[in-house]
Amino acid sequence: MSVAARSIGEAFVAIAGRDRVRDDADSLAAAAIDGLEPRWIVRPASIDQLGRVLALACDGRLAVIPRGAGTSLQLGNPPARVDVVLDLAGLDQVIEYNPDDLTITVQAGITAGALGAVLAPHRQWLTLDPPGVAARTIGGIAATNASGPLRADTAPRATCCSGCASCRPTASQPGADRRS
Amino acid sequence: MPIVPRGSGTGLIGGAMAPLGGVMIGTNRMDDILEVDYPNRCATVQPGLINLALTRAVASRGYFFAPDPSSQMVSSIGGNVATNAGGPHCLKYGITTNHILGIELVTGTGELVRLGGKAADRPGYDLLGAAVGSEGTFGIVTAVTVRLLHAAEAVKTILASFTAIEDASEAVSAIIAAGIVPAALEMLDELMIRAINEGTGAGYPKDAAAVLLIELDGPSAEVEAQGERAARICWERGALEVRVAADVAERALLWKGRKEAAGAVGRLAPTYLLQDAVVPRSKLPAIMRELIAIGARHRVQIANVFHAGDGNLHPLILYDDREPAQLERAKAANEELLRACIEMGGTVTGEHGVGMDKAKNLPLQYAEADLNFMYRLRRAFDPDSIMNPGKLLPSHPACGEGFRPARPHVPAGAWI
Repeated sequence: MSVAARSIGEAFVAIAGRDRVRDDADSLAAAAIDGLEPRWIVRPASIDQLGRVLALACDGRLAVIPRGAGTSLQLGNPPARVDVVLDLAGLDQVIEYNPDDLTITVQAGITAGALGAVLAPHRQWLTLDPPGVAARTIGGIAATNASGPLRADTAPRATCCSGCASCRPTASQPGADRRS
Repeated sequence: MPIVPRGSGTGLIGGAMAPLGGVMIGTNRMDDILEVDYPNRCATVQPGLINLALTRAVASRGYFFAPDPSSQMVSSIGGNVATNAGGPHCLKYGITTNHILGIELVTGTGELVRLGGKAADRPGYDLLGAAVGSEGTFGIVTAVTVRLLHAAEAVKTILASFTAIEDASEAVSAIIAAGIVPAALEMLDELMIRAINEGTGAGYPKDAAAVLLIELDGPSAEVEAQGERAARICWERGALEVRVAADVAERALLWKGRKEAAGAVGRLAPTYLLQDAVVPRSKLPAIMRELIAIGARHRVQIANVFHAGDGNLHPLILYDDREPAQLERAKAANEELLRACIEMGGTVTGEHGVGMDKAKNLPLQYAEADLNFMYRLRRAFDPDSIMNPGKLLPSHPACGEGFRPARPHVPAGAWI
């Protein structure tokens, strides 16, 4: 490992903490996408950390692949390269939920199953039903625009997603969203 | 040279005005229905086709085009796409963007691109979603493929009147929270009821401080059951009266007042500012309290008629334009109300669009990073900013937009 690579790894550790950055052989092998192993797996604990990880990756021209539950990473073409697997499972909080508004704002790493458990006591549910939905993350479902058989009925209604905030590789502050 | 697309010119935000001069391209003669595809429940039309003309063309087969802005008798589908128009029935069916499957667009560089299409699951970026509501700043739409819906088996229209606008606001929230999604859920306040009764003869209850117009549609059994529940919720919230339209004629009469509200306001004042801000539905009681306080503080009358079900306000701030002081007070009240809505988690516009009217307000709602993203997206479609400049995005010299819209001699927000 070069000096530069080691210092990038340490910079990730400085941002997210040692237990949230993996670069051991077993972890990297387990995180391989289409046989391509990343150099680091980073699991930010906050949006702030996520923004700083992306800014650092942008500076270092590192290829980043975000991962939710990892159920759909094999879809599509194999990646040309991957340096960082950005594990979003640590960002799984409900940000705002007012059942009367019929909307909920969550972080990308929450699984549809966990979200459903929040909604169920209020007799509400998420109409998205891609295969294996309970284990999949909301961020992953959005990224792949996944859907299931129920879309035949629910598609003409108002859309399920009414807004989102995202971190860009060059920006550390996610902006406002649209919610109506 | 600025290019300004124009459909029927019914927009409320100055979207089809030419503040910088240039060339206006009218699409109103491009009004053909190119294809109606019943098996796939869609139609492809030219942008100048009048909204209601499409529904009329497919009604005999039991279909309709869902977005129903109050202007639907005269507004064009291209204009509906540009502003991402809404309407009373968008509570259940969604706004224009939920009914557009594809568009053909000539961009600011003269390229013809097709975004979206009939088939679901189109891979790649959702540029169609970005283009709907872009208010002519990406290019000119030359063909639109829209979704057609099948008309519901049964429709029930209920009118509930209340002695306090807060009771009505709470009933709205309770109806939705009970799991009922009406096709439409509209609210009118005391001042508006008076104007409508004098102006249209719709016969709304005279002594009510607020009226809810609730429309349910779907299978008969469902509509019956939900109608009873909605009525019960209104009674529980202290309704004075709950009236169910007995037949088609009575339904039409209940709606007549609502649809002609904007004209009826002429009974109250010669001019008004129309606001289009949105709050999360659960904040309705709070924003109505705030609205009354703002009106009192600035000594202006505010009449309300709006899409309560989705929290989309339409306060009409009344003034007499022969008295400049009144206009100033109305503008101050308008600005304050907009800020109050944003603070409650709302947006600057629900369905009218941004245009010239609200471009300056966008920074209230979006962070600088968000706006910069929009500038960059717009430049991908229109690198020279010739398409409808001065609309939608606030002028932003740092981004090299290269234009600063001249201030027209029309008060901000006064588009009627």
